[in-house]
Amino acid sequence: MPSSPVLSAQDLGRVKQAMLLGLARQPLGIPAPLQPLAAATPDRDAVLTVLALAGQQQRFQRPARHEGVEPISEAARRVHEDPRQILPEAARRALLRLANGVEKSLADAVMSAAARRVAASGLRLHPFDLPRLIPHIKADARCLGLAERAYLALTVSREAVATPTVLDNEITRENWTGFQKIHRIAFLRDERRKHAGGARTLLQDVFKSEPANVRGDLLGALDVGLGVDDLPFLESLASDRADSVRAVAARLVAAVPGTPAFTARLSEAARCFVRSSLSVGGILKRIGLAGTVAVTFKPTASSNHGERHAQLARLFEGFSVAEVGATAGLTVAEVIAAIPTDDQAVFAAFSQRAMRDDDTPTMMQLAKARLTAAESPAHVLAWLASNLTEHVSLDFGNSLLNSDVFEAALQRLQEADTATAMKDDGTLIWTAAVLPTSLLASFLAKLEPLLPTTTRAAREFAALTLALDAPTQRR
Amino acid sequence: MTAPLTKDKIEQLAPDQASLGAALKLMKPTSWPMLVRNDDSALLWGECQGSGAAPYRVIVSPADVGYKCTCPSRKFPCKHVLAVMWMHCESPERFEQGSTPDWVQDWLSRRQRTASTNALDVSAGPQNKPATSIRAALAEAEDEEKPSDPKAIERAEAQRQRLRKEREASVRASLDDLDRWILDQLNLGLAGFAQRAAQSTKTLSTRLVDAKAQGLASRLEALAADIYRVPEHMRADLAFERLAALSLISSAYRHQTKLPPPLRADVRRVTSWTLRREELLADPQAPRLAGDWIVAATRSEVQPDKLRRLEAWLLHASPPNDAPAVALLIDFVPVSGGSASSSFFAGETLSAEVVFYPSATPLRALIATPTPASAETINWPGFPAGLGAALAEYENALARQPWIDYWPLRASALTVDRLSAQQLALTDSDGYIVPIERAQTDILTTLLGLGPISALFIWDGTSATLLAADTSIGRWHDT
Repeated sequence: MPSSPVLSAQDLGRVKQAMLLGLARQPLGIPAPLQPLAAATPDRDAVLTVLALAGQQQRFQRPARHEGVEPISEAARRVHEDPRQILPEAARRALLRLANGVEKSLADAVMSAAARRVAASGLRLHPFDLPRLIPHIKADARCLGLAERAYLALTVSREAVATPTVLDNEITRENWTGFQKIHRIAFLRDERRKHAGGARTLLQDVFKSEPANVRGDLLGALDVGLGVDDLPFLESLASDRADSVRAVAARLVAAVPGTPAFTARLSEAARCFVRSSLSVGGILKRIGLAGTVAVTFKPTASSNHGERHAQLARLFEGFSVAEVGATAGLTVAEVIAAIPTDDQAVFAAFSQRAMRDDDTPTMMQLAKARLTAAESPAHVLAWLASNLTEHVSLDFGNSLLNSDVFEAALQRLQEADTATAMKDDGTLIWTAAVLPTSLLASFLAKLEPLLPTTTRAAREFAALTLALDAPTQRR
Repeated sequence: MTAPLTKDKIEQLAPDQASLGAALKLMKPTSWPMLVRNDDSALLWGECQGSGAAPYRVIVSPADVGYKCTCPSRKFPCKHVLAVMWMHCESPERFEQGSTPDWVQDWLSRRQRTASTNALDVSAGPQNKPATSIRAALAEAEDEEKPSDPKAIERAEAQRQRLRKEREASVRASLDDLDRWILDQLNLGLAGFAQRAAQSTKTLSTRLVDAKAQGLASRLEALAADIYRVPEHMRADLAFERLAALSLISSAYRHQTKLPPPLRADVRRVTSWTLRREELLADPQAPRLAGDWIVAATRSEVQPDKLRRLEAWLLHASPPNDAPAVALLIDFVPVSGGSASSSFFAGETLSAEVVFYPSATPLRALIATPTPASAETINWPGFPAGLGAALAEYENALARQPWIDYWPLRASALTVDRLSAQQLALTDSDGYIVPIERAQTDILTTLLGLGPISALFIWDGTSATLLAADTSIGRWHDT
């Protein structure tokens, strides 16, 4: 304060008390130090002068000192103790521009894909951007490293602070029960891929102490590496107190390879794929399609579309393309080529299994087959982007960029004449998300004829990938 | 970049001769704080300061003579569009190369790329309208510049003086209303002010608007909104201080002739009299400061009067002694116009001359010489250590202009600490603790546990709002 206060603390207190209670109830006595000032403005009510000066004096009061502060919590410290490097500034800017420019309906999926790209580069998001990005990525365990989990513990799920293991750098067999459900499921699946029996034992040890909804979801993770060794445990759950757990257990039992039910169902599924006879080939040859269809898909399913979909979904559930192919004496490529492009059920079943097995080549083959359909490739690319652990192969990327379906999508956007039609339906952004870095330049060149607003998010995703892959820019 | 716009084309486009004349008058540099071209999108755009709070935004596509202007004119194209085209013909160097902002992109995306049905077919020539000519507009402008009838000038000046006097009288009368209202509130007691604030302030603010005391009306409306933003135990104190400030303003306005010129400018501006952008840009006395600026923060807030207030806080990279280190750029856009964001991006830097509104505490400013923003990082300026010096700076500002609501403070060697689950604070090694606005708690938790930081923050006497900070892991900006 420039000089000592005019009013003493007592005088100021009296003035405030009168004004807070109301001068009608408690008339104001003009404090002696203010009387000359009040007298100097005879044209104005003295009360207003007192208010002006007393109120102003109060504004000079400094905030209290030496108030206690809480010690820095472990979660706050852990935000900055994540051993991964923070992403470079150029990538950070591209990521933020992407967050600002991406279509709202796609924001969660796109930002999760972007965060996974950052994580795949061995880097982490800038801590200062977590408030902006966490709402989009918090449901995806693959995006949540130590810093992200610590930030969530600090803000979104404060209760998690009570479980200190959530702030461990890595989830392990020793601490996995302390993590949130999405992390535990992901961990259990990873463990199943490494050692199916050991992972089952981990789950068995804690199974009874978990609530029903967690039991069911954790049990679902056993679909990875499912085998006859799992049967005793799964069959014991027929008496579980929760319906949902019993249902998951029954579904898994039916999917255990090697059981008579499984073998019968697999044989039935394989019989749907029929190698074309020579006479048929001759007909096809005459109409110019010879050699394109060596195997046909002929299920004995209902002609009603809905019933047929449900029957095929049940029949193919849990099977891999390789399993069906081996039983039918066909290659993976032959099986995939035979599935009609409008048949969702079989594609979905095979895709689920490929995802579960983290079988990137099969996922790409399935996607490639789907990209020949006339519809927008956006949903196929979104599926790939959400499930591939890495970008697509160079061969797949080239095929995609030169495919008729991709060209048709570009053409549609170029000819669009309404604001809605000019929006990217996801084709561009998901293409940017799945392509390897070496193809991004040719992808960006294909965007040139389109409006900047249509391509902004895709360009930012590409810029992010390029910045992440620029080794000189890393800190 | 594009098919050249010719004066012939502009003449054909102009709806009438008067529009060309009006466009010519608009070609002064001060009318156009921003003129940009983008060769990639083949577009020109600019902002023209009209009579409204927000500048008119003009976009022109020279290739197909498409255009858009946000002014309410019913002439198509309006004088602003014609002025942009004309300036591009005559002085293309006035257009800086720049990237297309959102509002330009939005317009672009709404246009049909192929059919330029909305654009005029220039080649078809004028239809059913009298011929227009740039030469005639220039000749008219020349005529207007010649001294006209001295009596007419006198009459116009007298008319201006009369209106000004009427407005002064109206504002002074509104101060009497304000004083009476404050006394009524004091008689009723400020302890219960929060409950009656909305209704009570609304009635008076309507009268103040009618009396042309818009500044006072805005302060009252803000008080009604702010009173519920602070914890209940602080509401009476807030009312006490805000009413005290209004009382001070009322008294200062009445005695403005005794005030030093900058403070007089403050009290007039805070009450009723606004300074137009072009007046400020043309004022040689207005303080100016050139140099490198960091866009420290961009903020957007919807005001009670349904205008969105867009703020850009600029921090000078190396301010000379006694020069303002912080500049606040404010734009207003109608909320009804949809979402809007600042044309600045927090964290970017620009090299520019900034002109400050005359004030005892210069802060609000305009960019006098715009330059394209850069993503290059420039060094963070040095700040005094600790909160003691910063708080003294606030007191100093308060002493110079007693009714400021807040003031930007700079301090280094600070840490962000937690006072309680929902309350963070800036602290220093001397034990000073400045509570941080609760709305920032979640976004600032990532600054907990970082070493000493150097921070720019707004202080209103009770809580701080962090605008930007330089930390060991990079810069934090409020956006």
